[in-house]
Amino acid sequence: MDRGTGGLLLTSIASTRRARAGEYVVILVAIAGAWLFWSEYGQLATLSWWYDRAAFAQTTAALPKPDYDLDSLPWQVATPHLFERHPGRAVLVTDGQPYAYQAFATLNTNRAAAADYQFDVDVESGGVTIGLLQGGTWIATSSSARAGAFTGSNSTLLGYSRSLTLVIANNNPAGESRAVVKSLRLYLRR
Amino acid sequence: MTYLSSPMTKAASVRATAATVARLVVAVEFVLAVAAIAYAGYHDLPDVFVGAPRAVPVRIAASCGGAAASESCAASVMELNAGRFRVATADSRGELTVTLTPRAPDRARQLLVRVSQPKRVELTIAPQSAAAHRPVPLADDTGRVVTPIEASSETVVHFAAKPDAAGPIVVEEIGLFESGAGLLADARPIFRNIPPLRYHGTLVLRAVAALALFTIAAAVFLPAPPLRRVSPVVLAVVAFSMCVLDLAALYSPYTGQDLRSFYASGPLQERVGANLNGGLWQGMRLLHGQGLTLMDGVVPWERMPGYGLFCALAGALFGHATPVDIAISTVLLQALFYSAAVGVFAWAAASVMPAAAAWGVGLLVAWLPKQVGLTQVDAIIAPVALLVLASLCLRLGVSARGREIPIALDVFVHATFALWFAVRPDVLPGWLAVSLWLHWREWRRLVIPVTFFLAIGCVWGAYKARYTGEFALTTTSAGASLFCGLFEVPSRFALTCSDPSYFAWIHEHTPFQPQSAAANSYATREVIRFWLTYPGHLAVMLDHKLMQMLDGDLWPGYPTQLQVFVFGAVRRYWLVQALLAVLAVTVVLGHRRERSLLLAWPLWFDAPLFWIMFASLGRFYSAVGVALLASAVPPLFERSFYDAVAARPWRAATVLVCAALFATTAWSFHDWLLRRDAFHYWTPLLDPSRSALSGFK
Repeated sequence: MDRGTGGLLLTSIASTRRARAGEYVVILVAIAGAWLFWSEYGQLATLSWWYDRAAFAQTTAALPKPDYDLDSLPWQVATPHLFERHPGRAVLVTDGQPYAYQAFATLNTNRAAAADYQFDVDVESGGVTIGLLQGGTWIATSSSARAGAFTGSNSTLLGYSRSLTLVIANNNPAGESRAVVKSLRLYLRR
Repeated sequence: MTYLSSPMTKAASVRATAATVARLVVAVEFVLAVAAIAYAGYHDLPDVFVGAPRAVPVRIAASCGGAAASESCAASVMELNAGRFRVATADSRGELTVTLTPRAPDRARQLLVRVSQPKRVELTIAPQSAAAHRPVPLADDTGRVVTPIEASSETVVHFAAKPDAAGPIVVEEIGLFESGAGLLADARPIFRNIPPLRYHGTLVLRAVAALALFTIAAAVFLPAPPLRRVSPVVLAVVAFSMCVLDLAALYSPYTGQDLRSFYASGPLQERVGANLNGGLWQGMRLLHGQGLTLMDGVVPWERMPGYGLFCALAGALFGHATPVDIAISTVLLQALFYSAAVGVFAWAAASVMPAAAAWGVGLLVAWLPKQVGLTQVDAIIAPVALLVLASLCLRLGVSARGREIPIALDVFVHATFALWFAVRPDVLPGWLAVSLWLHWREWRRLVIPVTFFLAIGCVWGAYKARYTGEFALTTTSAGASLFCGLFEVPSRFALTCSDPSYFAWIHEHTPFQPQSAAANSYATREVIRFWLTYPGHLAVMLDHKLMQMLDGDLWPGYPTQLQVFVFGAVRRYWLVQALLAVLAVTVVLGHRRERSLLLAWPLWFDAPLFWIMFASLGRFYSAVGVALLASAVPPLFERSFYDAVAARPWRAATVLVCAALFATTAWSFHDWLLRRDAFHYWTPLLDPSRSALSGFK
């Protein structure tokens, strides 16, 4: 009889704990759901903000002043045959490695939530890739695989890493590429 | 006492109120998530199945050569849909002229063009508009180009390959449109300027995946009766939406080829009877009164009749005016069939598992990589398997209530198996095993599957016999499949896995036609002899294909970001292993053991077939992946499962440790086995010189 009572008591405690846990879990799920909706909308809205402005700029050339441009980016080079910088312009002749990094600039993100870049390149031969790396992983890329004007913009959300690398890479499986970078603007958004 | 309990009671009361509000919030979020998923798919529907806004109706004429060329040659024109065409030259002359005569010239204001060959082409338009004074440079990777044109009763479009880019000219799309809206990007109410590739290829899919997974967690806290009532319909809608989203990512008109363009330039250009067009041509010919044939006097030797009939049904329902139309109709019916099967499964499964579990399984099946964009029988095996599993759920439900199984229910169960047999014969071993399992006490009911088998087999055998002169109840390709299976594994054997290799081998060793029953028997005998000659190779083959299956092949189909959202975070191998571990725990602890074993039957009786036969990178496994989810996921939603684990923790822990050991060592063992050449090419039983399949590179 005693054992039975004790068993009932334990069962009752267990079921009370279970019910309490269930209450906490449903509250957590409700919060997680709200966060999910908010974060998904936020992500789309953040990217959309940039593309809306880029689309506007195509007609008005009214992009705001960037955080970095071609002249102010702290460029470093890997092994290009030539990376010659002039005010508002850079001439790139890549090495023969098909997809190798040629020039890059590593920056502090300053806790930015998103990064946007806009570029205008004349590809004289081969192809180039312009993109952003964070933690060793591409988070945004724009590629051209043939000669001609290569212009556009891209936008991405940033991860938790504090640094960000803007890279110009070769994109020519056949070897060397030649390009003139006429404009490259980078925006960091909180 | 009052002093002590009051704050506790108050806290409990606050907590209970918060939980009640949270349940309400979860319900609202669930509805919003489902609505968002459904809307996302609905938005992409025209992009997937139509590919472009309504074009201006035109008459089209094309010739390969200049407009004034005296020596013009024919160019092939295929209608994608009204007013939109694919045009290609057969030779390498490097020029193509297309004349478009619109029925309403004043509406023809934009020219849409997309070229896929050669690498560089120049486009000139006559009469020229202000915007097209100069030739327009195009490239094979430019994608769609929209050029304003002057309104004219006739628009002449001339393509000239650049001197350094010789070869036939292939214009994947050409058409006249009233406006450019909807040609380069879809019209969206919000987020309009995000590029389509990014939006449809990544962002929407990842958001939908997150919302879909959220609904599984949310379903646990919804009241079961209404969830059970709405699940079949809502899941069908969600599944259809996910089918469309996957198709929109894989066949986007804005970033690659839309579905119509893909079929016009790909499968419909291949030889008749190829994987993606065999069923289409059979369906088309059947609808035109030419029988279930591929061409005059030819029936497929390696296929059952069901898929050709399915394509014919799709054509009859949604249109078959052109080969492209029947292809699109088939894809649409495949998506609808997949979605309906998910709904039927959810309805039936609710009788043997909690409503949230039925939702979870249904949603995961809807979320899996799918093959609905490909017009081959493998695309409908998953929904057929879902119907089989649904019928088994109904039977289990009746059985669990202690009632006698009505004969009508058993007829339904075997009708679903028969449906599978009508489209693909690999169901036979499983059908036999499940039939014996279900009816070993009432063996007279075995008459039902036997009758279904003979009815389908005899009808198809008799039909084929008219053309082939021989009678076979199923296909005559088992030997070819066994042959091919041998050489899908890394080895030093000289033969390779392909139709030409099999045909050449049969011709070399026999006087038979490779498609004949005699060749089939010969190949089967020789493969068995080969297994006995090289038992090490058989062991390597079984292990290799098992590992490929566990590595994710059992969820075939091209994964989009909808699935990469999860597969990118957790490798498919570990997901499969985790589900297998749950299944093993369920069976060992005896928790709903019959349900688990029965719903997982494709894992026991269908998958192993492809370890010895042609596996084709796993495209035949879809039923296995679905069955794994249907059998392993429900226990996770059942409190009694956790109670069973708590009641026998050591037994459960032992199973989990064994599963973990297997999961962590299986690949190392596989790699070790592949390197053991002495074992791989060991011949302890038969003389290798007597095997027609022996021979090294």
